[in-house]
Amino acid sequence: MARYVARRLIQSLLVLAVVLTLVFFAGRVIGNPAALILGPEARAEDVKTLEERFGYDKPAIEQFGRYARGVVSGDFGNSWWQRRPALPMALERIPATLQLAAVTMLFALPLAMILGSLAAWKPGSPIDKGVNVISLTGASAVDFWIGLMLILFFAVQLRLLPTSGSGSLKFIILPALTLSLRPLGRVAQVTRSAMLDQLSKPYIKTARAKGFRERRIVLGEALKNAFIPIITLSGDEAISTLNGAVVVETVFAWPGIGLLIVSAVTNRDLPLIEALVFVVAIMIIVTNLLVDLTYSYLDPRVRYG
Amino acid sequence: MSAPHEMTAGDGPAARDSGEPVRNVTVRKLLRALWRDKLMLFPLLFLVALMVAAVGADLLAPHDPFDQNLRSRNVPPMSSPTSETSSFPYLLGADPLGRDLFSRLIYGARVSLAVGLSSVLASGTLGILLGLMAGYHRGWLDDLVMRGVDVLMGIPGLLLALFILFLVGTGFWNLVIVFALTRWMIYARVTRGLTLSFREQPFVEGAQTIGCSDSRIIFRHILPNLASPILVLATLEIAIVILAEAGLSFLGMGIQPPAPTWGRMVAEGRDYITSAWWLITFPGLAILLTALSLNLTSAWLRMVSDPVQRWRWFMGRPESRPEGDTELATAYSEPQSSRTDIESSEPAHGPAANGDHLLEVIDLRVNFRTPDGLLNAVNGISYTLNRGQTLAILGESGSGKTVSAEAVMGILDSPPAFVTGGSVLFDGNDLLQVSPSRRRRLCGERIAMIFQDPLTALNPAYTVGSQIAGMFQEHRGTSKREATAKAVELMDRVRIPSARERVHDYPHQFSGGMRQRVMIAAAIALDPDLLIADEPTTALDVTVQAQIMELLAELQLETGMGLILITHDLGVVADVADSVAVMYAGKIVETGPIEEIYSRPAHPYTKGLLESAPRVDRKMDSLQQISGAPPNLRFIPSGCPFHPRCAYVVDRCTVEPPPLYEVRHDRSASCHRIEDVMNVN
Ligand code: SF4
Repeated sequence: MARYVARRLIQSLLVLAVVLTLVFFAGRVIGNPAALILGPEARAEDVKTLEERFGYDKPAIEQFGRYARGVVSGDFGNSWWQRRPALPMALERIPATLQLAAVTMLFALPLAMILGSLAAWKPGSPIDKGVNVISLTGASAVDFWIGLMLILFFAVQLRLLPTSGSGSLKFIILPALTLSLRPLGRVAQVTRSAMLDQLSKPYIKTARAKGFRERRIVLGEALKNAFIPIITLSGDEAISTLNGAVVVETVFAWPGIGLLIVSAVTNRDLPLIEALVFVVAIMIIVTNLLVDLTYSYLDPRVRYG
Repeated sequence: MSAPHEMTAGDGPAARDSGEPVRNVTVRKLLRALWRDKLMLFPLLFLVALMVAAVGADLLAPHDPFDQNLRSRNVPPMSSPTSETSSFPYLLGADPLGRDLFSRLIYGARVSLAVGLSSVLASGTLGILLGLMAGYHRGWLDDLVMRGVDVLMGIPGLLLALFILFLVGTGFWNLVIVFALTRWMIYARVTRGLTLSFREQPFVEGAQTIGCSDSRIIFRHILPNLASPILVLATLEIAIVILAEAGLSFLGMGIQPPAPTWGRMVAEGRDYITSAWWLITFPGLAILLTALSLNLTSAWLRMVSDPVQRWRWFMGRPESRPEGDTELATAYSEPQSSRTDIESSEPAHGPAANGDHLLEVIDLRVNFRTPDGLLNAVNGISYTLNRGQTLAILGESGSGKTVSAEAVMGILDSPPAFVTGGSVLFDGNDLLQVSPSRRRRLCGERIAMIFQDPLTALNPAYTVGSQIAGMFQEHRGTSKREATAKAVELMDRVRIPSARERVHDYPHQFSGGMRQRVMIAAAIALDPDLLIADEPTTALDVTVQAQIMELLAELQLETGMGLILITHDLGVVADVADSVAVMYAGKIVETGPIEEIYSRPAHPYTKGLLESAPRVDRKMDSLQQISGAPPNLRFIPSGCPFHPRCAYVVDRCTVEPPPLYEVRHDRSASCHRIEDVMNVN
């Protein structure tokens, strides 16, 4: 087990190195950093002065060496926009996003699994149709718009919840609700099909022959086996909440990674973007690792060498 | 909720070629499906309207979408215009610059659809080409493409899109490029999978042998067969791209002003959320309805192109609660009531004459309701079993032997299977009449069952110990520790070596024979009165088979339980069974004490079975098979169902169903020529 984790960690570090290298060259080769800072209307001589000032006129290899040394020591340079070290800026946003993602998933996952299981237990039932509608809505949800409509209804009309910002528990309800629509539908759908699959397996017949209660058969016997595809998808969905977080955090002014990404992009802040890519990559790697660990815990047949 | 009609509809253009899969959607098929699913008209009409609006925006928009009119800033829907150019009312209100919202929505449709369609065209082409190459040529190219797919699929798409747009700048073509680069993977994966499977099929192999070039094979033989799945996928992807484009627009990274886009319209309306609700409501609704219509269309197309999907969708998993559906089931049981009962004489067992039978099955009938019609799986069988006795139910697959056992157990998959008649008296109580919850409690407690393949019949996710212990926990409320201790005892009892150490192992860590012992241990845990063993040794090695049979016989001797052994192989049960019931086409064709039947079968089918089984007392070279195949239960032959395969068939057999004749006081057989069959030996 430890060996497996170590191997995965080394693999992940390699992927991380490749990603950071790609990002560096994409930033210097496809885009011109100086031109990026100054924007499309900049004059050529201004761009040139800036290039010289920051060393962007040096050979790419030399720049890369400096960059690589910086990355290893956790130094991505100063944010152009805020004029302070980029990495801490990115890091301090992690807790807010994690909090949002955690509340979202803690709400969506159990609910989705229960709904999906019930749908599979009685295909064609009202619950099954409900799951269909939910997943269809989730797949069609315009997250930023839903967020605004929730604000319009709960904050503006009913004055029950704050419109945006962060602080008390009240602030997280609407963003988490918005963010949970998609994973809710997707996980419910996958749970349904995984459960249908499991419920037609012979061991279910055994369980019935043993006289087990339906609840035990569905939730105890089948769901435990259906967990593998569900966990895989949940990991993917957890990663995709970052997609949603960008939009939802903007709508609700939630001070997380997503909001910072938008700010970095609109402020043309290359060092900050590079730091954010690093932080996001690490978050993805950790999530995948957690999913892998969950597998081996859940499925006794998974044995790692 | 209609069943699929065109399970076998072969109206695809590909039907001409040798065995090419015919799963493509044709216009005719679509129209027919649309006629059936009339609700689909709404999303389809919406999409058509959207396309018309996008194409004809210049003609349809009542106002110029760029026409600013400060006097009509943020006017609510249905206001009359203050502009001089058009007298048409502001249907959906006007925006902060006094521009008509409705007209801007129509122009926004143009942007959304243009980005959606172009991007899907680009990403689809890229993905399909890569998938075809990967699937057709395999090797390093395949590895490379699939590695790329995995890596890209693991990256949140919107973040990647933002990053690329950050570098290359915004704009229509940049958007299309971004979507092509971030959304090709799913096409590549699907195309590759299908190509791999087509490669192995005769129509591609045939084309290869006659020397078709690779590109010809790919474009003429493989690509056309991808049409349906790709169409389904592309529809879904348009929705995804339109949603993503709206999101990027909302963040200010989409197509730049002045072109109206739905996403930016929502963003612009944000500041007026308290005063002008229409500014965000209508553009958002437009996006939602578009995505919803596309998603619905995609799901519908998938069902139309793959009828099995539809069937599965509506039926889902077969359920196992036949009692709940008896009303439904009886509605389907006319064949039974309208038929003169041929087994009305029941010579071997006086029906319900005495209460000391452990199990008495009387005229049990089971139907399967399938999309293709009704199937009579069990057509009125009767038998009895006493405590301490063993009954072997013998038959080929499809004879109804397993179905009848599952009906007795109450674990039929319903739908599609339904008990439509008869009674199952267990200890004098008709199991078909008791409440589902009482019946459930009888299962495991007093009647137990073991199955053919112990690997799949055991739950892979639980230790064998907990699967045995579960019996005590469920039925007796025993604590986990105590139940586990009992599980160890039971494992000892079924002679699993080092039970104490292995109780926490999982099924996959055991051999086939040991797994079946685990099954048996769980089955006998609560000392049942009746054990039903459905082909308990079929999946096992020959040497292990005998050990398992021995174990069962031994346990029966100890406990005095009744045992029903279901098998297709008389040789396996010959030593342990007391009596045998031979089933054919859902009926018992011969029944009696095993030695009698073994030495002098009275039914040609039994005789055939005996002759096809290797026996010690017969030379191997005389081994012969019964010619022909078991009947299709939907078209059970007239007269004697066995007549097409029978060596003794006479004219009478094809018209007159033979009743169950009494051969001796404890034997009966359903054949017109019992005497001849018995005396030929
Ligand atoms: S009734 Fe006729 S066809 Fe049927 S088994 Fe007897 S001889 Fe054969």
